[in-house]
Amino acid sequence: MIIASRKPFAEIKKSIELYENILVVGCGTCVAVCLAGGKKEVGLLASQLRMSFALDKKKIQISEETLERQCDHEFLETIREPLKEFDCLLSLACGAGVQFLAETYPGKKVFPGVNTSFIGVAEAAGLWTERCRACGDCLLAITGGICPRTLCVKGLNNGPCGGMIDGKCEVDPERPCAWVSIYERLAEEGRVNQIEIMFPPTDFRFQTKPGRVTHRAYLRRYNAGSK
Amino acid sequence: MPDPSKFAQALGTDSFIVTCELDPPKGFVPSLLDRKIAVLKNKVQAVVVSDNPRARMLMAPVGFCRYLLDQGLELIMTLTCRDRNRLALQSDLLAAAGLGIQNILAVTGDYITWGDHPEGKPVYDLDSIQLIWAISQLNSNRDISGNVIEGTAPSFTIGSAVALTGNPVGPQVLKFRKKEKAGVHFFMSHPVFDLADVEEFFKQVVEIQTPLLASVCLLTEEQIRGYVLGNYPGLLIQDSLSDKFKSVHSTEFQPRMIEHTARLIETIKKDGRFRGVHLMLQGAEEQIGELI
Ligand code: SF4
Ligand code: SF4
Repeated sequence: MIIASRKPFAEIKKSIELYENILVVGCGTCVAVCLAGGKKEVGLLASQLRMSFALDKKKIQISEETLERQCDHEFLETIREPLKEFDCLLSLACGAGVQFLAETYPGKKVFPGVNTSFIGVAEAAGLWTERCRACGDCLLAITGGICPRTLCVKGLNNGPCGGMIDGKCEVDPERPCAWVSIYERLAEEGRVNQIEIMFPPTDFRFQTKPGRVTHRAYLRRYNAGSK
Repeated sequence: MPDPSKFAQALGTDSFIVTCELDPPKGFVPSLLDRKIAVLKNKVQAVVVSDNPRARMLMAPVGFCRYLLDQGLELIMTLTCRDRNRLALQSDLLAAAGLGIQNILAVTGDYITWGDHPEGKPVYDLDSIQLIWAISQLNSNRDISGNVIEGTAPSFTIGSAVALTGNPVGPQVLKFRKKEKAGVHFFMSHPVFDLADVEEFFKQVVEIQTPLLASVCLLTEEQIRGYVLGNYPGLLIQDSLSDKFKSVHSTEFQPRMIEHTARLIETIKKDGRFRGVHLMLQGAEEQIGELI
């Protein structure tokens, strides 16, 4: 899932203080799970903003709404009517959600309330760690299910750099070197030969921005993505 | 094809080779380093020109190499994967060939946050193995996309690094083998401080076909006193060594370290597994005469 964390309160407050009628829009999917922008966080931030603006003696109306997802037309449409009374939307969705909200409601001032960090996993309670850079050409079949493009800080394709010390990464002695993890996993599985030949340079065309994927079945049936 | 470089010829003989690292100036004027250059000229088979070492922005190696060539030095130009994508790496190699630089040390490069522009974007479009392969391709008049390169192929002598003291050693041996397959002609190790530290590697790599130079680093007082595992990229200083030097008074530090390092060089010379030493003197290049 997508991991995000809330922006500093002062930054959020400053970005919206020119407006009078603000809707804090949460997202019930990834950012809810990582406790950055779900219903609960929307409530907390809205109260914090209300109190803070009240102390400043500013008359700013703060309302709350949390959608199931902000990256989907279906859910964004559900607030079309109520949205009319707001001049500013503060979205706690990931960067994609914020943009889709802005795109769906031109004319509304939209601001982000979180910093979107990465695609990751819930490694332990309250700890999320990155696993995938969405490179568009997954090589996990070769690297034993461990991604060097993400877990190696240099994104190396062909084994550890010389900076690895005692199995740890050159850049962070607390973190295992991705290539040591890959090697050991493959050795255990008797598959080291998979990484003995040179992996060719990455084809960055798979990462040309902005990415676009059309599901083939939909392309046939509804002509989706043809525009 | 042009003649192999003087350094390549030396690799083919039995003589014990000495190379020394030299950082380009942090400045516009290469002559800032004239004194060091004059000392090194008569002491080493080749000067290894570093490429933004530890991610510190210095004069581009290809430019500094041009200056050194004019002074008649034999050069090994370092090229790291950190700062250039595949176009820039290859075009720097064409420039190097055009200037007559024949020896290249292809390395990954210390991560950008070690240096003086920690906010910058690290590149690593190719890794060191792919870079070795790219240079081999250029040697046969092709770029890595398969396009023909006009003119006489450069006959680069290709070097790379090997972490002999890497632990665990398995992944480093894997990388070493891959570099051999990619077409490397010689290796320079990461700094070795005690030959006991390389034994694990040599258990797995019993016979080395490719010439290997052991790197010897003249440690600074700051490195000894401030060392904690992981605070210098790729540097593994055992407690036994730092304990020996921690109590040495500042005024005595460098002479004692030079003495110690000179003994290490002698041991490496006698060891038989190394074709030479590569010296990393970290600013003390003018003292090279006290080491060899
Ligand atoms: S190789 Fe890594 S970055 Fe690319 S898709 Fe697979 S997990 Fe993601
Ligand atoms: S130590 Fe390992 S994980 Fe860290 S940069 Fe080097 S190869 Fe990548």
